[in-house]
Amino acid sequence: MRNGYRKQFYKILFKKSIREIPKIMAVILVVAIISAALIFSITSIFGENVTKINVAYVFEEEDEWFSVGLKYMAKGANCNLKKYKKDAALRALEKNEIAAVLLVYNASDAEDFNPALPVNAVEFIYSDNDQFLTSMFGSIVSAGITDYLVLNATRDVVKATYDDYNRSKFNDFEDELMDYLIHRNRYYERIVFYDSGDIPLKHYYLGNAVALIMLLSSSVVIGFGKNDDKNFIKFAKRTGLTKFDLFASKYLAFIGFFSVLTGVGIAAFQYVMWDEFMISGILSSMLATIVLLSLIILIHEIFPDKTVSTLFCIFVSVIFLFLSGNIIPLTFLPDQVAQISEYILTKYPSALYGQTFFGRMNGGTITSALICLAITVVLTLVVSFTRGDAYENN
Amino acid sequence: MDNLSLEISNLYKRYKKNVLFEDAALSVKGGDCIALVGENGCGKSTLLNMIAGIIKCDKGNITFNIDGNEVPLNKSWQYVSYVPQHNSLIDSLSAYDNLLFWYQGDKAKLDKDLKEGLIKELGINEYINKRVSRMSGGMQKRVSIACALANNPKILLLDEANASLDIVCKLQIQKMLQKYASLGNIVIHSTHEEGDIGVCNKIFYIAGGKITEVPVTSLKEIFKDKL
Repeated sequence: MRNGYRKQFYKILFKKSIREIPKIMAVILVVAIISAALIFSITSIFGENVTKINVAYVFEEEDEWFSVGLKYMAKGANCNLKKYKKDAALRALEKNEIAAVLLVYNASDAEDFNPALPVNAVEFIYSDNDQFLTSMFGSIVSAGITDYLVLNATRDVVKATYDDYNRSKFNDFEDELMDYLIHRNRYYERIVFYDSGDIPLKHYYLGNAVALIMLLSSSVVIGFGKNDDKNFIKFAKRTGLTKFDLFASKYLAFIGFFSVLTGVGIAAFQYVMWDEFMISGILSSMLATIVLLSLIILIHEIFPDKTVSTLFCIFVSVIFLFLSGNIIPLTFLPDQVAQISEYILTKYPSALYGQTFFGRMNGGTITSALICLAITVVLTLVVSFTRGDAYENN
Repeated sequence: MDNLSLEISNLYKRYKKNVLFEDAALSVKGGDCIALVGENGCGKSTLLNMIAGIIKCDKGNITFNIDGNEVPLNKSWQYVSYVPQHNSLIDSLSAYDNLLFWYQGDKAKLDKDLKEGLIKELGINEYINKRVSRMSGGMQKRVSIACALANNPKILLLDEANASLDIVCKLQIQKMLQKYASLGNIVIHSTHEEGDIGVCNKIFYIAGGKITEVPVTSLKEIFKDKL
């Protein structure tokens, strides 16, 4: 007999969630505008500093194609490149006049290295096979940011070199190579950044923006109807609905809605950018949403009052996002913050969002996100079952 | 009617430092429409909550007997319905959707009751598809009562069901309660309304931790010592 109530209870929650969509979308829109403004401002501020650093390049042995490439690289917006003699470059690095030195070797002796495929050079850097290029970092900016810049610079070299190849109208290019030329951005991003486990800055900020929007909008949305329904829940419990039903219903109605919304959003993004869907990316973004929202549910469970819990959620969201480097990159924050960030729940979901935009995932981040999810779910269960549910305590 | 009864004995209930009930007792049988009266904070709502099984008493017995069989308290929800002071509806859904939960999704039964059942007399058909949040207090109260009647309960508990309602709404609800009790059921109504007293056949006065039956008279008469 009680199963009838239970079934109807879940149906009601589904219907209620559907009815809330216009309100939810309005909140998301407002939060998205605020987040976009915030992220844009921060990107501008830090992007400006990042692109102004000086990097030296030193040729161990001159190479025709990389000389050509470095001409383009020097014009790039990522860093100011200047050719140095090796000793002078090292002295400049010591004096902090430059942020990094690129030592370019003649790679013709490297095993399996095909000079006709400059993308191999990039792969060599990240496979610790330093026969081609070595980077040395100074103390002006952290290794992480310089590393990113070096990659970008190298990409410029690769592109420039290929452009020259292309213009010279060689006829013996393989089809595969032509395909690479046409889709080089995509190819480069997928191979290099996926394998390295790192993400480019624009995706980093994009991922953070999604995390920020999800956390702030869900903080507000979960408050809808929270106190309005407490009387209903109080009486519905007489029909045999258990604490587990109430717990599960929050996850199904609230997280279900947001994770589907994320999946659809990411799928649309992928289609617009790449004309195809990548299921792994969609699923990972949904996992990221589930992790973030389980944190919001935990906070709402701890604080039964709607206003208090909503404000606390927003407060915690901003603090967590800051500590996990979502608002200002960790590179620009004290080392202690970077150490704390390792233990902050929001770090892994936002990294997942960032990686999602490549369509390829890093297994380690997924595992970390799953661990975060397990922690929040267990904590929420403990709070729900030991304190009684939030409605009862009102 | 002898096939239905509610017996409360040796009831003790403390709320924080206040003793609400101390060795209190109450006996009601099928067909009774009773009014619970008393000053604010005397424990009327607490008593209804205990009968409904929402909160537990500190000590004492609350037993239901149906056709000579005692109903365990954990099964009482099937026979006891409660209309709380503040509505227990989901505001963002329609009256129909709210009712459907209490009818366990049985649309056929709900539609039948709306056409010819007791809830028809509550006059909710005209706004059955209206969202609860857009209804007036009186409309919401009628829907709350309809929800409580969904399971054909034997005992209907109402906590100030007529407070702040217009006279037409009050009279409709009173008429429905009278009819409901006349079918052999029990109605227990916590109230401060003179009109509600008029439709009840017993009045219980709660004061000093005791529940005392008083003659059916006016509220002024009951509270004359306090005035």
